[in-house]
Amino acid sequence: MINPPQWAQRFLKWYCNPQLLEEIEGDIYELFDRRIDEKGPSFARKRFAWDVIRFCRWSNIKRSKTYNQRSNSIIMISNYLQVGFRNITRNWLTSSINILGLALALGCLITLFIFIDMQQNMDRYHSNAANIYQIVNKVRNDDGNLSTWGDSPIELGPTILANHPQAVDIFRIEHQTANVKYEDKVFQENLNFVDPGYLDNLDYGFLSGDHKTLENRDHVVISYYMAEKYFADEDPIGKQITMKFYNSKVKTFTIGAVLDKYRYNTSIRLDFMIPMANFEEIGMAKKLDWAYLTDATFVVLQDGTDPNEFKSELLQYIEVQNSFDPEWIIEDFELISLNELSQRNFEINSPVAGSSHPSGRIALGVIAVLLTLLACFNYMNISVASSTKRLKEIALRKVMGSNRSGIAIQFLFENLLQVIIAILLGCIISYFLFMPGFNSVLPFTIPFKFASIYTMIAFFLGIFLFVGIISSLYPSLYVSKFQPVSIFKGKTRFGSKNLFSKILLGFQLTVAFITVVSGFLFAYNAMHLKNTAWGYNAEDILSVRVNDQSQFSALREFADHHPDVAQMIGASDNFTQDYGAYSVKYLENDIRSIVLGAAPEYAQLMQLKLIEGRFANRDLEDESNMEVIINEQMVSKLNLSDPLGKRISIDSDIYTIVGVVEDFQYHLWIAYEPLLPAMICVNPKEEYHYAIFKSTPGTINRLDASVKEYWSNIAPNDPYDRVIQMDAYDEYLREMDSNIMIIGFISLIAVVLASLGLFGLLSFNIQSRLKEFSVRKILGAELLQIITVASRQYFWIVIIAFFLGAPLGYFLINQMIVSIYPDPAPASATPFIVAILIMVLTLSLSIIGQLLKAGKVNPVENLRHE
Amino acid sequence: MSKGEHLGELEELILLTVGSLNNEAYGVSIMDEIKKLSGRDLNVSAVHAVLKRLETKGYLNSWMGGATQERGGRRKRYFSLTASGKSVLDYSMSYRMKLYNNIPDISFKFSF
Repeated sequence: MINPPQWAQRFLKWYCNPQLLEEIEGDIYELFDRRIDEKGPSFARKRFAWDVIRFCRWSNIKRSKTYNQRSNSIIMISNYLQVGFRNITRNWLTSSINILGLALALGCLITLFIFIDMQQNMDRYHSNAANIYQIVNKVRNDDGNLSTWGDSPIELGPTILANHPQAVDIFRIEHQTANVKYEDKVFQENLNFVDPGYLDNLDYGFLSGDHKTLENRDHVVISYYMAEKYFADEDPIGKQITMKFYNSKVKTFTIGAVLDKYRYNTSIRLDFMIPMANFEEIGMAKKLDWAYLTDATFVVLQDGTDPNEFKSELLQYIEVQNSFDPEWIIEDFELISLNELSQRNFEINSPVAGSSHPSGRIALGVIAVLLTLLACFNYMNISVASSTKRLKEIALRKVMGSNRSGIAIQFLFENLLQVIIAILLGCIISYFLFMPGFNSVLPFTIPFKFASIYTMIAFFLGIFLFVGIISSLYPSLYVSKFQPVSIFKGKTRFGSKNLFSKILLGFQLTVAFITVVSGFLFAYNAMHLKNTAWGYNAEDILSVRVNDQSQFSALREFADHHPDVAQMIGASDNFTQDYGAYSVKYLENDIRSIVLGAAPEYAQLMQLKLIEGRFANRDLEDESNMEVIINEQMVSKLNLSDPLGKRISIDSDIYTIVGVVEDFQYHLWIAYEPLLPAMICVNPKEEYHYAIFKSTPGTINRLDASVKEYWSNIAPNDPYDRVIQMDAYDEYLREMDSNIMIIGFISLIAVVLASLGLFGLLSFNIQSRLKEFSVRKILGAELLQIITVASRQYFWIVIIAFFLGAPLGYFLINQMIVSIYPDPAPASATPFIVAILIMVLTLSLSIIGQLLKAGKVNPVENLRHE
Repeated sequence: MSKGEHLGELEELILLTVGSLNNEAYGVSIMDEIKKLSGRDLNVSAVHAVLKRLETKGYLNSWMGGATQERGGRRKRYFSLTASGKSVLDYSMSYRMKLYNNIPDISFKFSF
């Protein structure tokens, strides 16, 4: 008996679909037997193997048992997807409302998340950031609480490096100011003495030079911005700059390296980095021992060192430090990782890193989540309402044997499809619209980027699940619940009388009212603060800081001959620049008060508004009888019924009040500090620090230019430090503006979302009641009556939402305003009225079209039964 | 006749063979018949593939025959024409004949 090859038989049995095996095997064996007779066994065996191989086709291959099921559900899913797309295109209006609303909110969420994410991940790009710690001091306050100070003894760093092997390196940052001069450019700058480790351990990029530069004590490293400021197009490397420190020591340095632009997520941004070795030589501190506190000490630990363990080793130095400076008793050290430094910045006194308070981030996060919730509810409502049209489809599917979960899954699919589209659209909106807009009101630019790919995946998965579950699950479960019998009988109606959907709409409108009312209150307050009268006339005033008498005299000479100068006086303090706070005494009363000293003409020059009395007299510089003018605040705080002629004292100096003026804004950040009692006294010439020019009208900029030119002749080594009084508030006003913009924008989004929600629900309601309106019309209803009937239920929701939302918004924003601004705008009805007007206007605009459609319904169209 | 019902050349040949074998058509016999009539040497796997395709198109019926002594007792799958199989053959034959008859005689006169 000749047999076919074993392997071929086995192979055939292995791959072949068992249903086809018998016929195929039969044919191959039949041919095999025949070929043995015709051509001999070896030919037959070869052909047998060949046939087996030829039969190995896709259609004959065995499938796993689950294959059929899986393919079935794939078909099902693609079917759902198709139905979903068809539904989106068929109901394009509601679909686009749904998707657009959700996308708008998600755009906000994405933008704010990127912003918050960036702030939470500052400085993490330094490759060794996890091993770098700042050593901070814990000092007990007068009130018994521990406070954290960034300063630490200047000796601490080197001691640690010498005695603790776990510390690989240390670097200190010592902040100073100096006048920096390069050729004819002189500016006052913040500069920092740093150890070479500062650049070794942090990954700042270099435009030119490298991190070894600081090892040469005559070299400095400057930032990109300083290179631009001083050298513009020149190559800064090798250039000499001269620094005049405030103890009048002068030293010349060579530019050794230029840092690249700081990355957006850098919190420690130094402009001038000078080798620490120079600090002692320049001698700004009397003695550099444990009593001298430098601004920051960082330690770089070995990989795997436990910071807490390391800290316990440091505790021995507490005693050393306290023995040197018994005035400043510290209780503990703490090691703060560079990764967390900027987040914890707000709790550190005198920090080296710059960052904002987390409350802003929290507020923005809450707003973003609220907006997203708003959009989700919107989505839920419209999604449920739009299923009205598909009741028969649901019923029919149930009759055909579909169970509830099948229908729920189908609707879930359709909704998730829209959610995905909304997320994509949200990304686009955020990238092209919100992110650039947001960046334009921020002082820095954030790229559209997540801290890490994992954050991004987690974030998008998170919003997909969160938004998907909230907005899709309920509608799907809700519509899949209905009984086919009641649907076919026409008993089931929903959307119009659903309490839940009304609650959701009410919630949306409430949130909208909260944001609109609080937004307007905030904006109203910001505008009020922005427009707060300064109390003096800043127009045409230029104040130049002088360093000594000779400079002042030179400027006086200049002013006497310059045609643009209307008047020029001296002052030791100046509004927005310099003023002292002292304890002022009147009889038994003792109050903290702002004191400014100036030439007697100062008050007149600034055009302070005199209420009673007169300005101080120019001739009186008699020590025993100094004249002073005070503001209204002081009159009320000191309870002076007749202030003129009263004598007040600061320490041993006695002043006679000769005039009372209206309150004036001596400070810059008007909104953030309360206005204190203030007085202006006459100061002797020797104490002048400012030369104050009043130009002839409109010539201020020309005057500024010529004073600057003159200045470079009389004081080539001192910066031209001047303020055009009118522009002093620019930054403050800009911040107010950007606050107004951000909050206004968020309110706008909330209003738009709420309007969309109302519009969507109303239009569906009207759609399903067209027959009712037609019958009403036939029976004689007027347009107005139909509109009333159609909108009545929503009217009440709006009213209720207003009475819930407006007070809540007022309450919330008031808390915030009071905590930030000490002198908020007085309560006023204006923001409420504006908010109501805006809401009523947008809401009615959004529904008026639909209402008219209801009113103009053609009964023939809707009632014809054919 | 729509595009989907179009017959391929091999399909048509096998369909014809199934018809002509009259209830005795199975893989090997169809292969033999084609070999005998047209001299074409087909692999049996190709015949199986076409048969399956024709069956899904609805032109063929199939059933398993009884067990015999041949082929180790394995049963054969027999095929026969369905009504639509017959009509698709009729259609394709008739349009071939129509085209064939349209060939003018003149074309043959050149070949004497």
